Amino acid sequence: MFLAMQEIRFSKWRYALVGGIILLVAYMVFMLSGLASGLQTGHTKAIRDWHADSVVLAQDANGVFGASQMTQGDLQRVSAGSKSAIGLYQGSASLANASGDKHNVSVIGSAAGSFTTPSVIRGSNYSKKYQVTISQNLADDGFGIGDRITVGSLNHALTVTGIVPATTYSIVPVIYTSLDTWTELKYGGQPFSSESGKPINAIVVRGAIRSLSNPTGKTKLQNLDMNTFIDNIPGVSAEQLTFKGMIGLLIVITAAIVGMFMYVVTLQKMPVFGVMKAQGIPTRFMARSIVAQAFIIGLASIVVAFMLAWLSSLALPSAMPFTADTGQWCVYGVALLLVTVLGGVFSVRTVSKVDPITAMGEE
Amino acid sequence: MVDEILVMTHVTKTFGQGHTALTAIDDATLTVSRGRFISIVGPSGSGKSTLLTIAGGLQRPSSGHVQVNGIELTDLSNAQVTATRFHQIGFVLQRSNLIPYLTVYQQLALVDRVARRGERKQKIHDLLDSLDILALVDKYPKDLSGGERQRAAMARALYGEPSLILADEPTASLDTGHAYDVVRLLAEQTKKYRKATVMVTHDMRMTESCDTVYRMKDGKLSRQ
Repeated sequence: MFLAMQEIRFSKWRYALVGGIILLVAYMVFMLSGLASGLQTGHTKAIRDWHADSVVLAQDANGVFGASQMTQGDLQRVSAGSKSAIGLYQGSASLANASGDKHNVSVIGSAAGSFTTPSVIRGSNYSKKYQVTISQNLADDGFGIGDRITVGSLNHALTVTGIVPATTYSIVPVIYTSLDTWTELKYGGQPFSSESGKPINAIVVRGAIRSLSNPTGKTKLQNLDMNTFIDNIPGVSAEQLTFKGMIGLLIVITAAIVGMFMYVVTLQKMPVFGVMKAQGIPTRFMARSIVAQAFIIGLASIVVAFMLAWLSSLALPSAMPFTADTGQWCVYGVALLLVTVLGGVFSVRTVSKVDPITAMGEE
Repeated sequence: MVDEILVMTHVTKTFGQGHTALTAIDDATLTVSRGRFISIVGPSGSGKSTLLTIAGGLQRPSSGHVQVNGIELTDLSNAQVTATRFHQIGFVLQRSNLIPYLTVYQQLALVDRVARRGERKQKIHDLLDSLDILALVDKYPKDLSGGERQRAAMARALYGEPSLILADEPTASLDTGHAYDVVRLLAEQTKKYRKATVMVTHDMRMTESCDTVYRMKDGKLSRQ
């Protein structure tokens, strides 16, 4: 540690240079990780808000939420502790009275009072047809309690009765309403033979499913655990894989940068190592100093990058899907530190090969 | 306590094999006792530095034996030779044996750290004072003159309390005045701390303060 620190102090710029590179790479890793979790959250927060264990979909939907077509009657075929029928609509919303801006929204229909309907933070929950609650992030866009809004092609204006905590599905804010309102929104005045014949997209289940009956002639149902369900949301897993790929590559690049830097520095210092060996200083001592240097530079750079990324997250516009998942950052930070140290270890072999005789003058 | 600090018996060093083999040292025998300052003089390529590296355990002889303070170097593993070098031998090299990124004080303190003990500040200061370089305690090697650097190197060599001091052309980079100074100091320290000192040089004028002068020619060692 002594040699390592003294040398870093003596050759400040040289080490600041490699430290700067590690810092930038680590900063980029943290920002990418923030974007990845931000996008993941943006895509799925409304679903995670359910705190459910599994989701039942029509089997021919191949696990895709929006493609799943089933009926309210199918609710009876699922035997579970808590269950709730869900309808999903994606479209635009605007204030009814003016020719206001259109905002993209996701509309989730579910029975008032079910666990899939979030509690309001202001106002009250919807209780009648054509009443809705909106998420705080939509309220931030200029919608408020009592406002009448137009959604999609529905001819009847919807009344906002309450605000629920900010949430998103498919990166856009969410409007919650009853299944009735949702059915009319999605299917217009289309008549249905019976209440149980009305369509829904999914049945969300809390707790274990006791049984799932699949009588012949009816839509086949399929139960997905929550993680599988989320991974099947179009784009989500591809997006996450892309980010993880980039982050992984950056970590490998860090290992290469530090490895090459320490190797070049070690080559330059061969005569000094020769002198130390002639003085009887054990190779172990020098090896420790190289690894310690990699560790010190790595730790300092990664900590600074961590703080920079955190500060950046405060400055980012709220529209940008970014989540400062510091737990995740710590994992990547430790991974970066490990490969940095590994880059140092790479040069230890070179030191062990230095012949102390190189310290002697030529004859 | 052994009195004969360096004992080299029938040491031969050959490089290469067959008819291209080159004998750098041909059956050299040398004994240096505690408190003695000897020098080995010879032209470039005579094998005198090779002899010094063998005495210091930097390379092994092709045949023959080397003993430092009673320790037979030829029997030891590389790591053991390194440890022996650390405890028994101090080098003063032609190009200074200082570490560029340590101050004069830290060069010596490093010895304490390798030995896993606390820095002995007073001892370091006393030693630097006796070599007249206490004022340079916080200077880096790049800020020292050639003579100051050799004094610091000497301090570094002495600080480990070795029994044997090996100096390889310690005056090569110095002007005559400073060269005499360094050799005089080396002689003084040898007597004061009862070390055995071997100095290799090509400059006959530097041997005045030596107890014995050996000559090396074509790998053969003879007493002057």
